[in-house]
Amino acid sequence: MKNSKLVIGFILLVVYTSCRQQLSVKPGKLTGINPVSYTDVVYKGALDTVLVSTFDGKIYEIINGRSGRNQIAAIEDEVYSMVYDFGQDKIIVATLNSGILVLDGKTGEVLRKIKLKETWSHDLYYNEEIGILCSYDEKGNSYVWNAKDNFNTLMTPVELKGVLPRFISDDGIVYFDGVSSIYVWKYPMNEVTEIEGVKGKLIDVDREGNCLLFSNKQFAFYSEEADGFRFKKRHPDWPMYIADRDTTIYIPLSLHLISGVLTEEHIYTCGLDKSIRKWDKLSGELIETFLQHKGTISAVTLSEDESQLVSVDLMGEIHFWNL
Amino acid sequence: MKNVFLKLIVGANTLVTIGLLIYVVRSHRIELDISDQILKVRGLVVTDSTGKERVIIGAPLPPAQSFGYRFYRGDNSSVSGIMLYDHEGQERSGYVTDDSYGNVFFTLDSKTSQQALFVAEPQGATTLRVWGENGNEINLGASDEGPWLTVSENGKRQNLIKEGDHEK
Repeated sequence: MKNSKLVIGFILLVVYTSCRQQLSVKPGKLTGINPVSYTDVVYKGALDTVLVSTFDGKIYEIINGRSGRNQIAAIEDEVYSMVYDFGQDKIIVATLNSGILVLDGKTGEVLRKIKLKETWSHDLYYNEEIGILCSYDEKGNSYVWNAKDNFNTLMTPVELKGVLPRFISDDGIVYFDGVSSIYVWKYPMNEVTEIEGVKGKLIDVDREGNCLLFSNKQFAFYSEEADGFRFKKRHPDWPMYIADRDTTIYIPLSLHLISGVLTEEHIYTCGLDKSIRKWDKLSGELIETFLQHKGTISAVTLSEDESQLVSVDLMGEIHFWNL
Repeated sequence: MKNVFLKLIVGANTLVTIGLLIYVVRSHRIELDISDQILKVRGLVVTDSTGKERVIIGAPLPPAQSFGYRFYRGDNSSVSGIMLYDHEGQERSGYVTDDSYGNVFFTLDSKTSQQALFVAEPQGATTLRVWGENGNEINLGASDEGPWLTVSENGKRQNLIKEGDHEK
């Protein structure tokens, strides 16, 4: 009888504690992000297959012409920039709080974390063949790692102190941006040359060593052969899409430029006006304007053979352009 | 004895089951009325129908974002207050106090940079600045030392209140 009282008491206790209703609030974060925005895009194949990253740490594989996207990774962090190692199927990403992460290209598993000295990075540059990975943080510290040597930091020449890496060419030449100069570090020979009087943010370098530079609303094309600027241009108008009327009106204003690429014959630039412009590399003439994006374009990338361009925007759109 | 115990268990089980059933039915819908309560939170986020964060009230507020990344506001630049974000998620306005010097700000931003700033400093100086690119700016303000109003066009600055004017 004593046992039965204990059992009943225990049952009532369990019922009382487990049935008492508890309200909980789903924890949230003050992030201030747009989770649908694409932050970067890189090619995973020669053509038509890309990886895209989002502010909320997702990495997807997208194939041109196929609906849907395949999630590769979901990082508990924000992803700003990506590079892809074709040979080892690894994705290297720049994050807000986790530094640089090396991920498995199939599973998205974090294989390695590379710490930064301060803050975070939003740009990565990589040459898979030579194994150099470059970046810089928000406080202006530059980083050059040797991916073939366990991502150990490479010592850079003293001339490169205080300047930021912006580009790595196929033959291992690293371009650094100074206040009014570009510094060219021929890594295999460890030589540094300075191109003086070149102001602006270095965006891209072509195979001949010509440079595309942005300065707010204006871009400039620097010719290596002429050792000077061939031309400086702006997007000539602002094509504003009016959704209610399904029409585009052109406002005679130039807006800020965001990204661009150089091909053998053309320059492609994109800006706040949501357009991609195609320019002649020799004359600077505007050849074509692409208006498919309805959001601000956040990144553009050119395929290895320069036959295709892919662009992503802050509204979660992606477009492939066969050039 | 065993029979009595089993009966008790079955009886208790029946009672509990009925109790649970009544409880579940009665607690199916809970309506919280907090209209006369005070909410105390560290942050509040208003999102639109697609999940984009459009208004944040927080202490401190998150770092601002650009086109696909965040940028650093600087050391000791943490701010708290209200921030507005556009339909693409970019910071466009803030009504904040900073967590170090003690200024209170109201700012209006373009897609790329701040364009208007209304600030009151802790000692009393207050400034309103409105500017564009190419050195175009209007700057007006007042402090214990006097008022000022400067207009800059293409970087050429003109002081519209000359020194000593306020003493007349």
